[in-house]
Amino acid sequence: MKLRFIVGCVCALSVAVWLVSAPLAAQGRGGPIDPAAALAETPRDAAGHPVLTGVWTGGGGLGATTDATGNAAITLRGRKGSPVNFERDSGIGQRVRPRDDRPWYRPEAWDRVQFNDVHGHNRLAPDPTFQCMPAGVPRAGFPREIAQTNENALVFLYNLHQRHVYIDGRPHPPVEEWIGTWFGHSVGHWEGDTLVVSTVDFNGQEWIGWPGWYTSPDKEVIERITRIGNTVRWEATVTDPSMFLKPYTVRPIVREFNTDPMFELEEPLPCLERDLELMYTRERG
Amino acid sequence: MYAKMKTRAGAIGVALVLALALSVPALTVPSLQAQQAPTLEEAMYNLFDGMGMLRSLREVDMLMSLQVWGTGTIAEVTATTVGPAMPMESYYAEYSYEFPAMRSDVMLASGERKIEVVSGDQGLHAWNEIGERGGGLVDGYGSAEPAMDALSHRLLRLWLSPAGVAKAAAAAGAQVNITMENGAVVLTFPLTDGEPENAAYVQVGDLAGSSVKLTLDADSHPARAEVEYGGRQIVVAYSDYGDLNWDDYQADVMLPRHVVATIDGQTAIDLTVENTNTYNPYVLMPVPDSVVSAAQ
Repeated sequence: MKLRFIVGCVCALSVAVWLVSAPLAAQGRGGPIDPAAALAETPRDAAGHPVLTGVWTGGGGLGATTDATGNAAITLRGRKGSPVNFERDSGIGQRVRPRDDRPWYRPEAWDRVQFNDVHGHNRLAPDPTFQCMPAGVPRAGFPREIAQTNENALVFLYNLHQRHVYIDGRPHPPVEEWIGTWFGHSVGHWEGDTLVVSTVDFNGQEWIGWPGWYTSPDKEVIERITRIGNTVRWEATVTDPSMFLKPYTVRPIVREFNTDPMFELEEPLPCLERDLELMYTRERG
Repeated sequence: MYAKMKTRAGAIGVALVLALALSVPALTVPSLQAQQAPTLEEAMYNLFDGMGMLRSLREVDMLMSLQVWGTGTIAEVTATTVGPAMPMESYYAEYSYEFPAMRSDVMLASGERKIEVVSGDQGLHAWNEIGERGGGLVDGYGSAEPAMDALSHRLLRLWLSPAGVAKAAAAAGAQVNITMENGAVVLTFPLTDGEPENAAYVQVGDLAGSSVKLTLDADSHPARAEVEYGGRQIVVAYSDYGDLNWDDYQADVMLPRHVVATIDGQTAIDLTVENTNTYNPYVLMPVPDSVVSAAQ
């Protein structure tokens, strides 16, 4: 009994370490992840699968605080607190990418990626999200809420968009019936405690990353969503043989289940196309 | 003494160096008039900071890739000879430091195109790309021919590039010696592979042990680098520093507008830089399978 308890603790701690090993920068908004959340009991549905429905929060963010008047205040982490330096430092820093932490484009695509990167804010090569287009998969990351209204599908709710992930065993439609959408067509199945979601049938207009990472309608995204306790780890791999030399695995994201029954999600702000005049520089950090 | 460069969050940092440097109550700019050499910490901080490589409040070196466009003349360089200067219609080069690599794409005035690459992605390899940048990586898109004889020369081009020479100095760690010559700060150090916590990405191959004498200008920019390798004296002069990015794409990264490299007094390249992109642009230099196979 004692040995079992110790083994259980070691496993749980290992899981906690695995969960929080996701880069903090990739974890989005809402405050830090509490590693202890991974130690909670994982709720399961009647079939024994981890329950994914609910609100998921956690991550880094810009470090916004609330001042005495109730207004949000953000400290610009640029040299000397200058907004220009902040944008320049961010523009450089966010493009620091270790060897495999970026898509390996086929050489035919290099010029366009570089062009997109430089001109992603303007009409020459606009980043679709700057024009309020959906981020698509995997760029949208992990949803802030997952809902289930019937046994056929999970609904992934993002700030301004949603997608359905069909979990009733249906296949993707045949290629000749593809219509090409921002979020594609998603089907999921369980592998142990991990929901594996396959998504195809994209429109090819979405970028998978702001530094000009465009894709084609041929891509397939495999997401692996694992709930452990009150945390979830999301991983995604993008395969696009017409664009990439090899599959690209996105930085994992960890989210924490919001256990507060009184918690209310704020209404997201409407999307406004980026006003270039409000940007100090054009490097889009 | 000298703190090693640290790797953090994917960027190669100089955090500890800076911590030491900033721990001095009042960081004093070395008095050139007094001919007093700065400490190693001061010299390294000033070198990286002077070039604008230290970014964010943490002041870590975040310059991991860049692009350069220019014109000038270039010579054919072999292990023993330097050919006549040939005018270039265009010069383009891209540098990667996260895994060390460099690609130059030169269009000679004669109409001949030369694409030369060196990469440390799967061990050190040098090759030429025929037809297209990235030639040989996928079927039907150019081709690649191994050029391992040129490996050391290309590694010199990488590590004697303005940002590269600073990183090579960082890799040398405590082996960097600081002196003053004619009022200028001089760093002398051996080329050496980086270590896990010391500019780990620096790979120098057969250049290991070659001594670099790096003279800084008054703004702590590299002004002149001298190396002896293979019985030849290589000298690179850098001048006219500025932010050479597009006017609305400034990054505060300072690079020289004029670079002249000589080998035993003969000009290997005389480059006038027209433009740069120092926002860590997307550059990729994986080694084609055919080059890997040929090297085995």
